Amino acid sequence: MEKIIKFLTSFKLACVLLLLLFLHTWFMTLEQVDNGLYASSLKYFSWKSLYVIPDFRINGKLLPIILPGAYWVCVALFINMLAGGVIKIRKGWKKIGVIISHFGILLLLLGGFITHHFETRGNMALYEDESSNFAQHYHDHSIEISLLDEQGLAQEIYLFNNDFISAIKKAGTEAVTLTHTELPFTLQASHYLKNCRPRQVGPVAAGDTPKADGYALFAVTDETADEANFNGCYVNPSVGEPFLLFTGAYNPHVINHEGKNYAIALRKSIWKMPFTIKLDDFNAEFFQNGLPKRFESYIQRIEGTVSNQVKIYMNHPMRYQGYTFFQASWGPQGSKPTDRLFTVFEVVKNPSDQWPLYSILVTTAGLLLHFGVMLTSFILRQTKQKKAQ
Amino acid sequence: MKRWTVLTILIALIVGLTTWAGRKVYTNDDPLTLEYQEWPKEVLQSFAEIPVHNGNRIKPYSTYAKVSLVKYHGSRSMRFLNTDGEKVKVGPEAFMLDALFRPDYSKDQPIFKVTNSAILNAIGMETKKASDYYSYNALSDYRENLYNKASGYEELLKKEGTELDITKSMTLDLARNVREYETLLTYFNFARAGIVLPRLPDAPADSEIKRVPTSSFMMTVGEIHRLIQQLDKDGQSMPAHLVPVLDQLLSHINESKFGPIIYAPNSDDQEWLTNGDALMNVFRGNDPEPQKTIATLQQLEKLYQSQQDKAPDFPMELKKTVSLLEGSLNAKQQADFDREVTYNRKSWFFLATWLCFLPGMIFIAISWLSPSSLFGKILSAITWIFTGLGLVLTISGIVQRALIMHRPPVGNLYDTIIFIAAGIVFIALFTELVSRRKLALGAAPYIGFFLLVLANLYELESKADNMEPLIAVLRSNFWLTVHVPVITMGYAAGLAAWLFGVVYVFVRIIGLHQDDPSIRRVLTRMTYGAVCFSLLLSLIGTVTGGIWANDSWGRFWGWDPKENGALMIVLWTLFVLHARLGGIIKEWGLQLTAIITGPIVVFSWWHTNLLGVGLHSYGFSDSKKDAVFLFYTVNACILVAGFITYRLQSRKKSIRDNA
Repeated sequence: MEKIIKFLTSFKLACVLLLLLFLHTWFMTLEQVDNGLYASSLKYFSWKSLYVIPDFRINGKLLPIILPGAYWVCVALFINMLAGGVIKIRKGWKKIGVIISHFGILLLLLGGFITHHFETRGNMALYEDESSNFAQHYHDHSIEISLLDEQGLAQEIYLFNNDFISAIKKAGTEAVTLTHTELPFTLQASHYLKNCRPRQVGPVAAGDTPKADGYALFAVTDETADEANFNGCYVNPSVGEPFLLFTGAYNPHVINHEGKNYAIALRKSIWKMPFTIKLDDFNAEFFQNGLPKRFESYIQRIEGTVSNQVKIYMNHPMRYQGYTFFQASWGPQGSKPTDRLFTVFEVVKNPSDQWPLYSILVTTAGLLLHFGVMLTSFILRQTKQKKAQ
Repeated sequence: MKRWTVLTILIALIVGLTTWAGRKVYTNDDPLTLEYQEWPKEVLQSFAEIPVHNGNRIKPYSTYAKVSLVKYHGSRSMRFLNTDGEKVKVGPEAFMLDALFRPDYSKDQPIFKVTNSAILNAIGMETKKASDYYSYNALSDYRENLYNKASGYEELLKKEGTELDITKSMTLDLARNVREYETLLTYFNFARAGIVLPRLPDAPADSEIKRVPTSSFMMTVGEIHRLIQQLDKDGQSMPAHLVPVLDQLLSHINESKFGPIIYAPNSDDQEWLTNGDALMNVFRGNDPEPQKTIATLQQLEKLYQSQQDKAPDFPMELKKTVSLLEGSLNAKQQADFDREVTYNRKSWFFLATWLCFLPGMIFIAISWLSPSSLFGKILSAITWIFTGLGLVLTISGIVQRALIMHRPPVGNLYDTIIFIAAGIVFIALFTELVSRRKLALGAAPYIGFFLLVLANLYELESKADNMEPLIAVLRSNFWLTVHVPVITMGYAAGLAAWLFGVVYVFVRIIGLHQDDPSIRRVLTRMTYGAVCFSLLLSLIGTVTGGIWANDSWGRFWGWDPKENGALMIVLWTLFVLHARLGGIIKEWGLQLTAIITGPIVVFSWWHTNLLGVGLHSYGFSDSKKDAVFLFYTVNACILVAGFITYRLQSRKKSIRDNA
């Protein structure tokens, strides 16, 4: 036991872990060029990655390097720092700065773990005078089934969220049955493709999904930016003909059953907010060559009958009830300053949102104290030595 | 002997660095001989003070002219011989004055630098050298071919995902430069040609053709426009005698539509205009104050005429033009503008490089012959003064830039170089103050000189203003204001650690430590201190960057290459310090790992921009990529040399200990 504790609190372990994290960061940065940021960060830093093989090649030849997953290296570093750098470390005024800065970094790592597991993010786009109480996820998808009324408007919406999508992805060519107690039919979904295009099936090209109405989905190379991928899958319902779902489709697939119409679509998951945002005014100011100089949104945050006016602009988000709204972008792309523009908010819910700020205050205080003490004692020692000479 | 070796190496370093610094100076072994009359100094100075709107900001003509000349010529001055065989150096203002007022002189000057003769061969031009300078007249016969090729490449560029190879992009750049230069040549055509009034239909055939200044014609042009609109409404055609007049006006408008933007708006919500756009606004009746525009036009005509007449009042007319155009600036704009005029005149970084750091390099090199003698001490004191002065000048330049731009001192890659130059010289001088061993003092002017020359070469290579305003996301945030300078100082501290490590290896290889064993201990403390400082600043810089990102994009960390680079510096310095504390590395280990900090800083500072992904992917070209890989290679060699020295000296020591 003593040996284990000694190992866990050792400098050697700390050095190895820091070196490993250094290598992870370096390899992951280089891999972004070919594989994109999202895929690379998932590969290296997801808790599901127990180990990683960096795609590091010299003259096209893959070097045989295996590293433990970065998430687990961070866990080990957390334990090592807590045990060695806070609990076991010799206490005294000379070490107080080190202990404080270790504590700050532990807070930062803890914040990182919380963000990794509990953060939710999406975006909300609004034209002036429009309002919305939901955001759209960046990466999560869901299958949405809407019961339509006679005007074609949704009366009820039934959702199969991202967990179902994960199950379909995992099942590969096997079908996953989607059932909902209030739906009079079931869906069998399979062949989920991360980036694909629907095309007509011909004698040469068979497609990567079974055929539906003469069409199949054809897989294409994943985009480096995950948001740019068009997802799709094959669906065989218990009523009606098989069909394809595709995030790039203009219209949902409609099933008519027992006189009722059901619209089925695969789309980015919807994330409901506990309040409504109404965009009153959006101002964009541009430089003479068209580059953005300033853009700001004047909104109303509506909760029941209560409404509050808020200004959201670059670097000044709105934080409310654990949600943070950032002025992220505007559109449509390529529009001129005189065009009608819409605003895009990035919406984030992160329980450890402000932890890095607290962490850096603690760490900076600790490091300044420590290096200040060291520098002062060094200068004093020098002066003493000079006097002695 | 060892002292002489040090001196020899330092002199070689001085020669190498100064040669490298001067490589962008025009070195044509067969200079052109041209007829040329130099502009009076007062004319050049007044001309520099004309405000022009360019790159999203108001700047003095001196800045605009400098960027234009660098873009075309690759250097801030052009050299040739006059007909008396004397060397002539044409600076940015003179180049611009020639193009605007004496196009016939200008067209013969070797303005365009073409570094790949294949571009010219491809448009049918014969060349003598692979890289050479060409005048507009030399290129003009092939101009159509050049434009045809360029428009083909522009079409290619419009296709999504198309990237032009280096020859194609150079062709495109050359075509754009020639086209832009042509707008200067024709800018004053409205003053040169005026408007020729046709004979009225009932005038006698031998009546005189009248030429009026464009400004006089513009006084009546509103009426003509209204008349044309009325005729158009009534379905009648324009009177025939008006057609050639309007053709002339349209021609003047087109010829000065894309040149310098010098007409200030009447209110903040309007844009600055070129001469052509201003004329068009008056013609269409869109100018709320046409009299003001016409008055400016009149003054420009007077200015042009006084120059053509070689009248003694040209300097006076130029001053009048300057005060007329400056008069449109508000008090705040005027203050910034004046500051930039002064900044351009002072050349802070040039003075710091050549009048401070260079002498500092020479004095400290000589002082190494006898550092403890009175002679050595005096030279060290002089080095202190020169290096300190160089630091003050560099900081003054940085502060001036920040005041002009109304933003923190670091906003682009150029800013980072000068900031790091100041940072690293400051760290070295501070270290010298604490250690007093002349090691850090010796390194300071060399690294200061190297980085300021690098900044200069970067500016020439980037062919940009480097003082352009920031886009929305980079404006107004406290954490960003803290993050950028702190992370940049972190780079400086990391490079200081690298520098001390390199000096250590250098000392050990030459054997200077044998004369004074304490030198090793002092250097190790210096390196350790720099690593600590680098960790502190990089960590604070990285996390404050994260806090800013959290306010801007809603995420503390986004795994952007630049962020990762900063994190790598933090992780590496943490590794070095923990390995040192844990006794895993000792003196040699600390120095060699500190040397590795250099390439890591360069990876974060430069290489991440080269990757072409992420938010910080800006300002990179192939030549910079080569320089980065050269730095890696040199460091690998230093590391190998250091490691071999370590092994040899350890073996010697163990043999000695055993004996």
